[in-house]
Amino acid sequence: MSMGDMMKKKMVGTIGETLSIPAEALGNAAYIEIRGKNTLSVENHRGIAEYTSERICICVKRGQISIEGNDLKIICMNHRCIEVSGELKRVELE
Amino acid sequence: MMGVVRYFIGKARIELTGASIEGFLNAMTKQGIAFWCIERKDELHFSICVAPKDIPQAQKIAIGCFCNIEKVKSSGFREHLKSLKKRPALLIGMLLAIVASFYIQSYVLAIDISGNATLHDEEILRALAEHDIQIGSSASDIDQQLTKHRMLNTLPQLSWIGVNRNGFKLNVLVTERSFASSNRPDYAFGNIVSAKDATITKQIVLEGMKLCAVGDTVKEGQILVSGFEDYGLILKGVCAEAEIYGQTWYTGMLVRPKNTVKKRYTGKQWTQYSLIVGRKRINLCGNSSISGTTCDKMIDEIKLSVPDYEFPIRLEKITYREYEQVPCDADTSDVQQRLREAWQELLASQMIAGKIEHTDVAFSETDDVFVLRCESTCNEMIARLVPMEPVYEGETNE
Repeated sequence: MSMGDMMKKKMVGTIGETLSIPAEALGNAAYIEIRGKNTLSVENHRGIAEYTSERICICVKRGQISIEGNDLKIICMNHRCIEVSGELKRVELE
Repeated sequence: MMGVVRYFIGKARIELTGASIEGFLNAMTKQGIAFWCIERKDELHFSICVAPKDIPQAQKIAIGCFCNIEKVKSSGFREHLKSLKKRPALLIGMLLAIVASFYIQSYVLAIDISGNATLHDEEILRALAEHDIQIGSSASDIDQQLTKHRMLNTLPQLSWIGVNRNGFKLNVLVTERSFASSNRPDYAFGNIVSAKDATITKQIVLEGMKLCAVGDTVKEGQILVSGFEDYGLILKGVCAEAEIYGQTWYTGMLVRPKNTVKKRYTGKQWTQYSLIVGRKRINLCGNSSISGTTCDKMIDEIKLSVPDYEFPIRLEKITYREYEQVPCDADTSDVQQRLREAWQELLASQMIAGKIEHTDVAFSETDDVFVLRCESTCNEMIARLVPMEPVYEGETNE
């Protein structure tokens, strides 16, 4: 990452903090939404690290989100959001 | 909504085989290639749906991720269109049906009439036909207001008519004039006179001055009840009202020829089939000509209809049975009975109300004819109301 990019990120973070803008809106932090026991969506991801029917690992800015359960499926995926369905048992932030 | 959009864009299901499925999915996401319906069969086999146009790019990505792609199934609007191209007859039929559904609506193919109680549908249809509105007419040429005015002129029994078009069906709604019935005559003063020569048997006078009594013999035209009521000092003019019965006599003679003919079927029979579309007749098979001999004609119709709607198409089957007329001798007792019945019917038609009390008959026959001479005594209503003549010059009876 170049100096310019680092400065830009720092500035974005400072402005966000000052104006109380949520970090996920600025594209910095991952946003996880769990609906009931069957659906989970992750925004601002950086790809999939592991995909099995019992475990899905999704890379985010600072680490990984590990989802464990049964019959896990990725319903849809694009550059911004991943949506997972199945019987969710555990969600870990690593 | 996305399902509809994806149907028109089309979709292809591809199967992936490889160790780095996650890498493939990440690369697809990074390239911005949309995919959906991810199904995992086992650790090495996945299947996803992509748009058909993205398959070449997905193949490149798969090669880069050491995966193998195989196209399993395609679906969508284009695929359906391709399958229709293999069935040209279905495609042409569908196109013709779509064109016909637009084109047919510009013509009148059915006329539905409602609201008529005394006027028959055929009368109204004939009146419409006089103004060029019938099955096969162009629907766009029908002017509702003009048709309404013309029809009200043609059929004075109508007080209102509405003509509305619904596709190829014309709805005609009519309202008939109602005439209040009245038993009262149009004139103010009237006398009751005798309609026939009779002997009065019963008399009920409601209005007017009676000029005869029960038992009197009266002649035809004689005044029985006068419209002038005499109150001594004044005379009051009224419209006389009475019910008067009298005994009347009828004599007559009925004649019937001895030699008659009757039908005897030769056994020859043939059938003709015709298709009637609107008012046009198309002969399908069979011959309708009758050469010199006489035939009975029986018509059977099969109409094409669905619930609430009858199409203007019917199949007509006409059966012709040839017969010849052969002379036959009439049975005497049968003839006598028929002549008596004819006499009874004739008398009943001559009476407004009443009954036949007694009939004497004399039956005879000559070389050519049977003769029945009858004399009947009846008790019938003989009172008839007639307008009174104006007494003074310039006076009117209204």
